[in-house]
Amino acid sequence: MFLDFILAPQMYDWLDPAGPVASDQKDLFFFTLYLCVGIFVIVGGFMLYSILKFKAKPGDEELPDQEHGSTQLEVGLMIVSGILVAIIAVPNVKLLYKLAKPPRGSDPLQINAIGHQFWWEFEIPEYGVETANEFKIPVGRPVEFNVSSVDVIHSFWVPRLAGKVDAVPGRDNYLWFQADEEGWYSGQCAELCGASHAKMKFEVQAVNEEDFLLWVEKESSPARQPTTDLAKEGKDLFLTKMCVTCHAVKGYDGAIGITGPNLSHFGNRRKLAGMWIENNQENLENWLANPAKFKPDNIMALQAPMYIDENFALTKDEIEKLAAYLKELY
Amino acid sequence: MSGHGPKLALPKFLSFLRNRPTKENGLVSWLTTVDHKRIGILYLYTSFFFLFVGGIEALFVRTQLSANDLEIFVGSTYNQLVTMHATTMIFLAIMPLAAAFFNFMIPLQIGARDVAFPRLNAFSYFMYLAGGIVLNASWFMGGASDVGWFAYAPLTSSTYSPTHGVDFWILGLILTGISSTVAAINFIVTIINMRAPGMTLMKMPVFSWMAFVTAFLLAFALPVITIALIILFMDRNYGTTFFQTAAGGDPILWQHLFWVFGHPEVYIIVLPAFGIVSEIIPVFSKKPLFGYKLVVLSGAAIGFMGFTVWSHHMFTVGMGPIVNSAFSITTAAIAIPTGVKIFNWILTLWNGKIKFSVPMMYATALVFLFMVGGFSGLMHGAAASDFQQHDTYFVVAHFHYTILGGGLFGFLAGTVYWLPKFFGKIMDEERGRKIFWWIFASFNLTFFPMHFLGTGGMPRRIYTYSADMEWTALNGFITLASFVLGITLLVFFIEVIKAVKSKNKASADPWDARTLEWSIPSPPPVYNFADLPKVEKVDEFWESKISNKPIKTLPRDPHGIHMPGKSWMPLITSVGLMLASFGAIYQSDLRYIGLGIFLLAYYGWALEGDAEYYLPYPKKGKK
Repeated sequence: MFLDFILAPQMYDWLDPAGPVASDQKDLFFFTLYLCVGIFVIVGGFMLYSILKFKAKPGDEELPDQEHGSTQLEVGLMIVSGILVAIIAVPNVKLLYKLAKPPRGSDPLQINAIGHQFWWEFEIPEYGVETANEFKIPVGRPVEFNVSSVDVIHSFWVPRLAGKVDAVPGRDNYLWFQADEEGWYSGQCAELCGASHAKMKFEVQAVNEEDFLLWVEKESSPARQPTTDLAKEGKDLFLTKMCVTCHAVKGYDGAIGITGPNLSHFGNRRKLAGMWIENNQENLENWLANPAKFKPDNIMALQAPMYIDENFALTKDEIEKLAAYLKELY
Repeated sequence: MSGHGPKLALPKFLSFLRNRPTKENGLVSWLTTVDHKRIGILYLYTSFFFLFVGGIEALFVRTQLSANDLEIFVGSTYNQLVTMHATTMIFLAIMPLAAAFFNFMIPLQIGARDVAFPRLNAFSYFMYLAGGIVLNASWFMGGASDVGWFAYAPLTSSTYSPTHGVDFWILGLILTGISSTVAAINFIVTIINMRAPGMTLMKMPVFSWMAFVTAFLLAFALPVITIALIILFMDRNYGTTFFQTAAGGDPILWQHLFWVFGHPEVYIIVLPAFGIVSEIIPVFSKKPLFGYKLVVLSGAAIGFMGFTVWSHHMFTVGMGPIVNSAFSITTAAIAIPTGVKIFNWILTLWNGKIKFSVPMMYATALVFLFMVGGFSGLMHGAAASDFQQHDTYFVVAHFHYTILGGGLFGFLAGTVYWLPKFFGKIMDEERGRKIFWWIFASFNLTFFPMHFLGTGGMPRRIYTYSADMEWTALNGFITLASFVLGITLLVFFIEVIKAVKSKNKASADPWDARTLEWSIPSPPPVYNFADLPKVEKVDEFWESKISNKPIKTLPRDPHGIHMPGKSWMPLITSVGLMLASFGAIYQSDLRYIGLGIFLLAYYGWALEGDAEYYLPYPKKGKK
């Protein structure tokens, strides 16, 4: 079972790196691991040998040699451990400085990653992209993140691409990574941030330059108008049920809320509720009916009138319309 | 000081403040005791109780994680369990377990009749109990703290944690903090002033030495957390903004304050256990501890260096490569004095005649387990790769190997080893061995696989995970193992109680041991040493046994054996502070009542009548 687990690639497996940062970190991890296992085998083996070899024989009452110590031996052992500590320190410090910035001459993409209870906001200012929980990056190009938070401390972590950095309110933290292969990479919040900390996942897709530019163009343009009748009615509900106090939709006057995720291209997202369920009509309706079930203590469930005041509660019919509308936002 | 001081003018119903209690038996005698041995036993039983509570919380956590997408303990409830599991285990179980041994053993090991301040010692115990009550009362009064045991700001602010859970947590910890600080000062004064004549510091038993170092760590580290807790309480209740970004405060300040306490705390837990191991390994190898001086000095060095590494808990905060490098290196450097201890333990075994009684099994197991935890600690110390391991199950595995493997195993060893001294009874060897192997195996099966969950990217403190993360099988396995561990630990403590109730009377020196506590009967008489010993060598008792000369003693006091008087005041001051804490949490008038009781008892403490008394000496030659 353990072996299966170690060898099988997993979505958050940082020993299965897909970029230079995570790859260097994995190498240092294994370097220290092998060194430590080596010393453990030697010292532990020595101890095991002593235990087995010097076990008292029954009936032997004679005292062993009462030696009190040997300064030379001890100083020698201290020097050896000092050297081993230095052997770990050198590559570690080197790597800390190496990973502090992307290689010189590269042209990194700038992204703002902002932690909220319990979702991630992503902005690419260069292209006017504002989105949540899912974003794309160009493959083979370094990406620099400006990581911060609007409420409590979160931690931004895409294990297969790089180690984590905390998202601290009032502070701009820095992280960079690069994906060497196209594909989806899973990320998650790594610092306890409240009841739904577990549900604060996100995903990054590394795509080729062309697809990336297509994506940013789509994401930065105004939201599409609904086409079906159901969705049109949903749009009216969206505006009248006060969803817009918290959610922004590009191109709608009045829909500029910043508390919740920007929904301009919500229909494009693969997943819902902190990447927990597929973004389809049925799940979306379930989510709208009872968001606290999927994400305990999320702000919408705690504060939005339709979830705390019976007079504003959504009917089944309204939920269906709202979901239809949201699905058409792409 | 002989009863002629000013007498308190008090109304009749308060006259008990003036007349000190003298009951020798029953509940009152335990509530008013100042005997370090009885206080040690109180600490022992209370910490066993909280170990049980913390263990139940752990098993609830494991139940919720036993499979993907479970909804047994969800969201805040889960976070409360995680927070209270850690808080209970650290502050109410493991630290007091060390305090139990400190209380009982330090005076016996250094040849003293009691600690320096016997009433203060009782106060420490009752404050610890009060802290435990306040912390756990939160379960029944609106929910416990759910912000994790290191309670990072600003999640702890009244905006993000509007219930009283965090307030209960703050005041509970302040109470236990007072308890530990006072106890630390008491032990420091005791060790400096009350050693038997001739016992220079470098002839003191290693356990007492580690207690000495630990007491200094407590005395320097606890004020930091106490102050941090007070300003957090002010942030939450009185509108200050120390940790509030929007008002110009800094949440990272909390992390620095917390970890300046939090890292020495790790050594506060493991150094006493190291002390126990350093006692047990020589006894069961029939050899002196190899390199006594270096073991002592390395313990002190670990204590000092423990204050230089706190920011390794904060590598991901964004401190930059310079700070991260510095703290990486100081962290790795602790491996050197720790290595010294491990080498010396092994070299003590070398050429010895080792007998594997139950205490020795736990002691040697500790060395192995602590090595595992130490090496994974060294790996965490490498900041560049720790960015990956940080806050995953890798670190959960790491600190359970250090705190359980390096701490609890030492205290289990100590429990079996000193049970004869505590209760005059000895544990059944055969069953003790079986229980050891169950604990050892289930401990490793529970915590070793967590390393793999960590490399698989599972963050700590998540209440659920989905099937496609592929953490289900390992988590299920760990939960199963954790239940076995929980049950076997319970069996261990039942076995301890069975031994205490049994008729397996222990002799004064059942292990053929080395230090002074074994030179007096099991359990020791109330005055410990009828004749106070004179010490010439390290391991004085052992030397006297192999040279067949009795330990020299001081001449007897013509008045008899001087004994401290019992008192109600430690209990009443603690009750006052506990009530004041409840009052402070709810901002109610109860706080003034509590403070009033505290002040009254405080005066009573200062002015209560004299009750020191003298016991007649036993006949010479009869211990």
